[in-house]
Amino acid sequence: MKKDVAAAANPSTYKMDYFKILGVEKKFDLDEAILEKNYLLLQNRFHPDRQVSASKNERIILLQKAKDINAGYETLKSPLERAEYLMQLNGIKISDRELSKNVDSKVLYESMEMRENLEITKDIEEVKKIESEVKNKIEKIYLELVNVFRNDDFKEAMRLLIRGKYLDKFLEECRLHKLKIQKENNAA
Amino acid sequence: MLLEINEPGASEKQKNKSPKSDVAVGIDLGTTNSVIAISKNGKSKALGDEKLLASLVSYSGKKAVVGKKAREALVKRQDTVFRSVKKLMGKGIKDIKKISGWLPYRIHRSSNENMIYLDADGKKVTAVDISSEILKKLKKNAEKSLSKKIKKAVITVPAYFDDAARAATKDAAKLAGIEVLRLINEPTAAALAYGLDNNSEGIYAVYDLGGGTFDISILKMEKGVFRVIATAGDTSLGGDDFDHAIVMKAISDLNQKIEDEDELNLLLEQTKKIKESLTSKKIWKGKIKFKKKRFDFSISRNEFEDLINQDVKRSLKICLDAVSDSGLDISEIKGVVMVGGSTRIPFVRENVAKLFGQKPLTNIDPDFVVAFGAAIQAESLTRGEGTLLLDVNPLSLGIETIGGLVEKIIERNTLIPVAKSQEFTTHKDGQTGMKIHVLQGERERADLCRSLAHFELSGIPPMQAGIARIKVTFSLDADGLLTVSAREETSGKEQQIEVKPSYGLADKQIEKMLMDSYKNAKQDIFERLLSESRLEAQIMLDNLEKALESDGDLLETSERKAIDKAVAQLKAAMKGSNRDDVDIKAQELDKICSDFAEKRVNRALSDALRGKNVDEVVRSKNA
Repeated sequence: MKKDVAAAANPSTYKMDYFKILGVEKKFDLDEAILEKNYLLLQNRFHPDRQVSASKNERIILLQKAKDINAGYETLKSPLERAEYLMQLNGIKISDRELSKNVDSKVLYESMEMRENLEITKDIEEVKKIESEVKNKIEKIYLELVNVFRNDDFKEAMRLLIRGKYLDKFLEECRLHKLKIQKENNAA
Repeated sequence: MLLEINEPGASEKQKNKSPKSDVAVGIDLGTTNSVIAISKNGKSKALGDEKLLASLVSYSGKKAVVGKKAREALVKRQDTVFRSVKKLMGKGIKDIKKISGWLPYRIHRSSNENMIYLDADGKKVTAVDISSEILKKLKKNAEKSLSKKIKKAVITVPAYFDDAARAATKDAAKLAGIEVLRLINEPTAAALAYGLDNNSEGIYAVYDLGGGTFDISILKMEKGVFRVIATAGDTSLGGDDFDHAIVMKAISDLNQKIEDEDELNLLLEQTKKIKESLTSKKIWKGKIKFKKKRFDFSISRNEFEDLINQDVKRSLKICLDAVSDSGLDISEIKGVVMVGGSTRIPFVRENVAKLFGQKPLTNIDPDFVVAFGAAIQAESLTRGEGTLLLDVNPLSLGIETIGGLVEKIIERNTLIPVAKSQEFTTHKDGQTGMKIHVLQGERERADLCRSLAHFELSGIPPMQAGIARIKVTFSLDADGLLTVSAREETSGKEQQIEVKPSYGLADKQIEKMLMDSYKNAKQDIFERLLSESRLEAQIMLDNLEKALESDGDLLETSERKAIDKAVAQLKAAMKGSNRDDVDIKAQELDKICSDFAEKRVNRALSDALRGKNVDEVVRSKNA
C-alpha cells in the first residue's frame, strides 16, 4: 500500500499523460488488449474499494489516481477521443464549437444526405443496414488515422476526426430512430 | 449504475488477516419484504428470526414496531401501519401524482413539493424515518443471531432510483446507525449472487416480480465488467394483485360483498396462503372465513392462472420494451435471473421461459437472492478484495453556457471515480465574475436539464473578452458525490462547491434527527421494547375480548374470574413502564386461557358438525 501512495504522490509521475498512466505505447494504433488488461490491473490496486487499510490522507491521493486511471482509460479506449487527445498532446486543442466551424462542406453534405435517408426509413432492417455502412466508414477513418498520425499530419488528422465525429453522432441518431420504429411497432 | 470487475487472482494470502474485523452485511430494503444477510467466503445466509421481514411499520403512540407485529396491527389498527414506503423515497408531493395505482398512504397536510410527510397517529413521519425503523429492526435481528455488533452494510436499490432516492436511502441507514459501504443496484446484486461475474461474457436479464412492483433489467457483462443497459417496470404490478384477484373470485363465487377494509384485509391474508399453496398443488379446497362465517371455496391452478394471465402478460410486454430499449435482440440474452417471491408461481416461470426461449435461473430463493448478492459485495468490500464493482455516472453532468445551452463535462456512463476539466473564457471586456450553473441530464438546453447548483467565481482580473482562462473541473468520487471547482488560470482565483443530491430533508434536519436519537438512545431502546410489548399485549387482549363475547358461556365462574383477574393484572402492567412485567403478565394470561381456547375449538368442531360456523377460533387460540 505504502508503495502505491509514493507512486501516486511522486511529482514526476503526477503529470503523466494517459498513455503513461495506462502503460501503453503513445500512438494511435495502440494495443487495446493491453490497455484493457492494464486498466483492470490498475483499478484493482487503486480503486477506493481496495483501500481498506489506507489512512485518510493516503485515500485522498489514491482517489486522485483512481480518477486519472478511469479518465485515461475512457479517453484511450475510444479511437476518436484517443485521436483528439493525441492532438491535444501535440498542442492542438479543439472545442466542439471549433469543430462545427471548421467542418468542410463535403462532410456536411454527406451527413445531410444520410439524415434524409434515415428519416424516411420505416424498416428496422433498413436502419441496421445504414448503421453498418456508417460503421464501415468509421472503421476506414480509423485506418486512415493510423497512417496520418504516423506521419504527424495533424491537419489531415483534424479533417478525419471531424468527419468521424459527425458519423459517430449519426450512429446515435440511428439508434434513436430504431427505438422509435420499435415503439411504433409495439404500439401497433 | 454499476460496472463490475472480476479479479481472477484475489490474493489468497490476504484472506486470513482481513484488515478490519467489522462485520458487514448485505441488506435488501424491499417494497414488500426486507432481508439482511451475511456472506462468508462467498456463501450467504439470511439472518434473524424473521428472515423475510415484512416492510411494514406500525406506530403505536411514539414508537414503532416492524414486520410480523406490524402485520398483526394491520388487521386491527391499520391506521397506524405503513407499507410500501419505498415508493416514496426521495419524493415530494409533486412526484406522487406520477405514481400510478392505489397508494396506501395517509399523507399529512404539511407535506410540500419537496417532502411527503405521513400521518402516524397524529405524528408526522417521513419515508426516511419509516425505512430507518425497518433497517434498525433488521440490524437488531442480525446482531442477535450473530452475537456481534453490525456497523456496515451494502444496501440494494432499484436500478432506476435517482440521486434523491439514493440519498434518502443513505440517510435512513445513517439514522439506523448503519454506515453504507455502497449502494448497489438490485439486478446487479442478483447477478452477483448467481456468480454471473465468474461466467463468460454475455447479456443477462433480471426479472423481478415482488409483492407490489415489477422490474426488468438488462445487464451486459463485457470484459469482466457488468453494466445495466436498460431498465423498465411497473410500480403497481405484483403478487398483491394476484391475492386481490383470488379475493374477487371468492367473493363472486360465494355471492358476498366486501363492506370495509378490515374485511378485505382478512380475506387477503387467506388468499395469499391459497396462492402460495397453488405453487405446489393443482387445486386448493377449503374454508374461507368471512363475516364471522366459514364458506367452502375451491380454486384450481388453471383457474388461478386465468386470473393472473393478464398481469403476467403485461410483465412480458414490459420485458420486450426493455429489450428494445437496449437495442438488442431477445435472442442475444444469455441468461434470465428470477427475483421476487412471485417468480415461484409456475405460470410466471413458464411464461418467462417461453418469452426468452430458455429456462430461467431459479435455484436461489427468489426472496433472498438480492440480499445474498449484497452480502457477497459487503464481504469483498470489507476485505478490499474479490469482485470489484465499479459504478458509472448514470446521467451527464455539465454547466450552462451562453444561450442557455449545456456543455457536458462528464458524459453519462463514465466510469467513476473520475475528474474532468474544461476551459471556458469570458465573453465581455473587463468581466470580473462568472456564474457557474451545474446541470444534470441529457438534453441540450439548460432549462430541460435538472439544476443541481449555482455558484459564482469572482475576482477575475479585468481583461479583454476571451483572454481569461477559466478551468472548470467536475470531480465525482466513488459514491457519486460531485465537487465542482472553477479556477481562473492567470490569477489563480479559485472557487469550489460540493453538490449534494437533495430531496427535501436538509443535512441539518438529518443531523438533528441523529442527535435526537443519540440523546435519547438509552431511553429509546427502553421505550421501543416497552411499546412492542404493549402492542403485543393489546392485540392479545382485543382477541380475548372477542372470544369472551362469543364463547364466554363456556367458562365456569371460577375460570372466568381467573381470566378477568389476569386481564386486570396485564392491563395494570401495561400502564406501568416495566417491560418485563408486561411480558410476564401476558404469558400468565396466555396460560390461563389455554383451557378456554381448547373449549372453543371443541365447540367450533361440534358446531361445524351441526352446520354452524364459529368465527376465528384458530386465531384466538394463537393469540
